[in-house]
Amino acid sequence: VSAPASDDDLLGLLRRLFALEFEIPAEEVVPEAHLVDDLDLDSVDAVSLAARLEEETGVVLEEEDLKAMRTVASIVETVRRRIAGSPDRAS
Amino acid sequence: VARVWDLSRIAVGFSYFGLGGWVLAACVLPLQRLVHRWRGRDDADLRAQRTVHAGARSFLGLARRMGLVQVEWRHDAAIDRGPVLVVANHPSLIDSPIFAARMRQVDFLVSPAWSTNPWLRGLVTAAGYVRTEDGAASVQEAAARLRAGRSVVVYPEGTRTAPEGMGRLHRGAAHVALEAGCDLLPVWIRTTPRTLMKGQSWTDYPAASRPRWIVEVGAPIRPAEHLDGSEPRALAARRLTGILRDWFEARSGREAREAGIGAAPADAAGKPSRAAGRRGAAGGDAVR
Repeated sequence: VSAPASDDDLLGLLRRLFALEFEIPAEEVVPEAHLVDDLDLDSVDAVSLAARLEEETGVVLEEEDLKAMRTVASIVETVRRRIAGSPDRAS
Repeated sequence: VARVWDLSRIAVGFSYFGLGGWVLAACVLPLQRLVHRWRGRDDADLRAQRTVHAGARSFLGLARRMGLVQVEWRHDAAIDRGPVLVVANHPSLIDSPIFAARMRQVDFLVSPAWSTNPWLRGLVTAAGYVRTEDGAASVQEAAARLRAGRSVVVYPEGTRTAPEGMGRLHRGAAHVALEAGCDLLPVWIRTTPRTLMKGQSWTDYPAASRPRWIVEVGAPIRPAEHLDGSEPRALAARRLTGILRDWFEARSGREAREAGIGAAPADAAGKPSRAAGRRGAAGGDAVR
């Protein structure tokens, strides 16, 4: 598992996963996009997204992390912090 | 005088419904549960569902005899071949009693609004209905019930159908079908005239026109006929929900045409799906 380093890498990874898992076009996966209102994700999607992110980055997302994530940017933030080894979570 | 007579009938019918529900929830079912456990049985929820079935039948029987309600089932043989995963629109307050009266065993998926309602909490708990607070967990639980041979009813809108037409569909029902490996059994409930909608008072009940509920059971939607099996689960759920949405929209459009108000309401109902494409498959209101 090679963890992407930058926010751009992570955004690229998310775009790939969103296209693959949910058929959401890459141009809609922008940092400010709201996961529920804009991208129509639901709780089951969140769980499968977390599983795919773990496969790709090695970062394990807890239930509280999932609940705290509202936008694409908050996923990027949470994953980046975890990779950097900080226990802080994005809100 | 006619209005007074109507109001009296409505008051009796709805008192029976409200008080009966409360007596079941607060007294009968908890007592029954205690006795059942004392006898060392572990299927108290199924026993409670049979009691709810009897209660719902008695309420609808009374309401029918009082000329308040007519219920007509169509093509409903599939219901008896259970276990089935019923996916229905939800136009009125008494849709669940209608299902409970028809099905001796049924696990409803209930929204937090009902499972925390002090009036009905006891009933939801005793009958072991599946709560939807945690979407992913409720999918697993509903699928487990189906695998155990129990029938499940889901209202994919997550709330009662609005007067102007169906809202966005949550994908939970499709996820349950995929998880349990079963078909979706679509059901269209049509109420004429529309009544007991969300926020409507029972005093507005059009008793004089003796409202009629037509419950039409459709052909099963078989996931394998619409998916090639290689799709990720989330995508498969979106596709199945799209098929369900088309099924419901066809009926909602037909209903609007028959009501003689043109195709406008059907368009309104369909707008979210057509405008947003894949988004029409719709999701939950929160990533819970």
